[in-house]
Amino acid sequence: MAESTIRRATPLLALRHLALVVVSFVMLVPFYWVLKTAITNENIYAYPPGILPRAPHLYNFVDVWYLIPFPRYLANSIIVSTIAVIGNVVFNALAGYALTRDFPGRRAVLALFLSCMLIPFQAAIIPAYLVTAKMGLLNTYFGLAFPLLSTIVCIFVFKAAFEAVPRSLIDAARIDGLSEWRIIVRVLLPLSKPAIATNVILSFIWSWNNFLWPLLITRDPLMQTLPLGLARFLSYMEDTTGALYAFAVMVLLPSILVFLMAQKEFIRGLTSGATKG
Amino acid sequence: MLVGPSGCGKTTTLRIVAGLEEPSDGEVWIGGRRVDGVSPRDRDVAVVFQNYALYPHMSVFDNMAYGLRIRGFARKDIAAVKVAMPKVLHDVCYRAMHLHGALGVSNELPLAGMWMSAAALGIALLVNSDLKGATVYRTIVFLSYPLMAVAVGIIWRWMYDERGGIINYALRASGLVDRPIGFLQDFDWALPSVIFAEIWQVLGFYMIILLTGLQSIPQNLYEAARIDGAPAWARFFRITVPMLRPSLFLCIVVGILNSFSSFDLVYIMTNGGPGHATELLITHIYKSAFVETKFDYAAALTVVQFSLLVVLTIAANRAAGGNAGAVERD
Amino acid sequence: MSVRRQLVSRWVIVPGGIAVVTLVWLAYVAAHDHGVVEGRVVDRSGRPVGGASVMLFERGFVTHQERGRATSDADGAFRFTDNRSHSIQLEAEAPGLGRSERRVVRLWFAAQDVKLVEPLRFATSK
Repeated sequence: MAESTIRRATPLLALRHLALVVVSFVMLVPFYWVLKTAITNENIYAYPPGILPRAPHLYNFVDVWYLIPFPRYLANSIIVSTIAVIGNVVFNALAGYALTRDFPGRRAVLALFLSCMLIPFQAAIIPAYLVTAKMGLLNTYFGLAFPLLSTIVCIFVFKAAFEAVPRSLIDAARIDGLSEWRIIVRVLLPLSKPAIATNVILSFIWSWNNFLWPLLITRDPLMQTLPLGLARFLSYMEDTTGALYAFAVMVLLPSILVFLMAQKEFIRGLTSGATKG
Repeated sequence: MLVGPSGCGKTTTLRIVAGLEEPSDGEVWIGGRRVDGVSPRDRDVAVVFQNYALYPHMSVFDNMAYGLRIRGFARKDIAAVKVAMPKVLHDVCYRAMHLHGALGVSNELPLAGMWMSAAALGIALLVNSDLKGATVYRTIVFLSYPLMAVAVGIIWRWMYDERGGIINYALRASGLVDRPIGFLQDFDWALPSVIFAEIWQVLGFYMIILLTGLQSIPQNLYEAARIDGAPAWARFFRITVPMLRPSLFLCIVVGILNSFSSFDLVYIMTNGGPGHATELLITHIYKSAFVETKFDYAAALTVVQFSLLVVLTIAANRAAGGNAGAVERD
Repeated sequence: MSVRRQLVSRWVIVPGGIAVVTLVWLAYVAAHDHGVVEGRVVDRSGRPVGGASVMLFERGFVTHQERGRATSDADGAFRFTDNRSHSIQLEAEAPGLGRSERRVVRLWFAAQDVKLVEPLRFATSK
């Protein structure tokens, strides 16, 4: 649904591209080095630093694969992240919608949510563990996804997106006779696709990269998630050559894949033109 | 028919009749039936809004059919509506919905600011336009966010290295400096270097938050401003920034919170830095508790940090106009 | 969204594509994982060395341990059939020639069938 635009004067366009190229270069340089070290045996502290990889190979990745029961850990990670993403979208959308409505105690709830952002997860691990244990969710997939089923940042992203939908659309829906549920599902959510995309990306990344929580609640070694399982071997590997970087790249790839799939929703202007005048 | 000067209550009266608002006093009767307190769907009214209020994600037919479908009309009756609709009316409605597309406005190019939200805002705006390859740029900027903090810390520590690091190597090879700069060893360079590495990692996160916010700014605002003759910077400051208030609020608050608790990168790169040059409150807390085993002192520091963050968050909320920066929309 | 549109959405195609590629790869692995390691042993001047004892080292966590031995025939060819690892080293030993180079062989998957392109060389000649 991309709209055509008036092409700006060429020098300004070139300037935008130039700025973006500079930024991209800065973003890519360290990343290139991670990649380069992952595909060679070189030590990053070798002097002079070689720009191009000498004798590149992919065998570091094979080593990482056989270091741990990779397929099992990968499956664990995928299941846990899927649960977290689905839970996030559902709960955060509902909470975000509730926050756009006026109800007694709304400011208190808002303040409560904001203050939840202030507490780092490390400070809450003991209560979190106890709650999960009492619910019998230790060492289960759902328990692994539990703390990340909803995040405050994503609630506010949804809140902002829902508030951006013109009020008259919602009123029109009410006139048409839609119930609250229908309004959320049929009107607000389709118009908030960028917010859903952001939510999916962020919740996937946070649950995929989560080390601390799986470390705490997995008893059975086979229930570990991928980053955790690999991180346990970090101390045995030197941190200046291939294995660590191959590991970092392998953990990174699924998140990038999810980003690429979800970011198509960042197309502009779904709500523009819905209301005129 | 209601006539009267603006502000006398015409729209409000109509809304009360429709059921979108409840009267503070009195009763509403429609066709011999008392309806105040009855929800709009049961009042059997239809409303044509001042501003069309069309569902943009549904087709024209669905827009007209949806209300009927909810009411339970049979499918064939709804289809009959479509057939009866003159084609001209169909075309006009359809074109009106897409007229803005013909005019088209791309988002404006801001100046990249000195700090993270501004930088992310700049990048988000750049990639939000129909620029060719916007997807590629977006992905490149985002690549660093899902990378493990450990890997980021080690790589940047290497990049800043005096002897083997690529930055010093490039600077010396191009003749810009004679002696290597101790980015992580020099008192003046240490903190900015760590900050830069941190920005490098999290830029993608703030970029997509702002991208989401940018998506929801209606294009007709920019069109109107253009027609009024407002220059680019005015469009940015008068339209983009105010409409982005909730996203900017989120960015700034989360940015402050995250920078207070960003432990991993500093710990790996400098562990507090030469002397205490890169000592954050959080690293100081960690060292007091687990290295010097002064748990009571560390706990007190935690309380102080928490209070400070509470104050900052409240102040940010106030500055954003309360309600987490929400913007009043029509 | 109709069922048909859902089926071609990228959320189905991408994981589906990945699944297909994975299955193809697994089939390839299943066909080639007999653990056969073949090669030749030559001396410095390129003459085949018969009767040399070839040792196979399997990579443990950080070290390599000897896992098997084979003897080269008259043409200098040797063959292992029970390799289980993805990272091995080969070294040959022959009376009068001492030890050959230690060749590192890294494979794509465990027990991959591999045939050495370059023969194992001794540093000396007969």
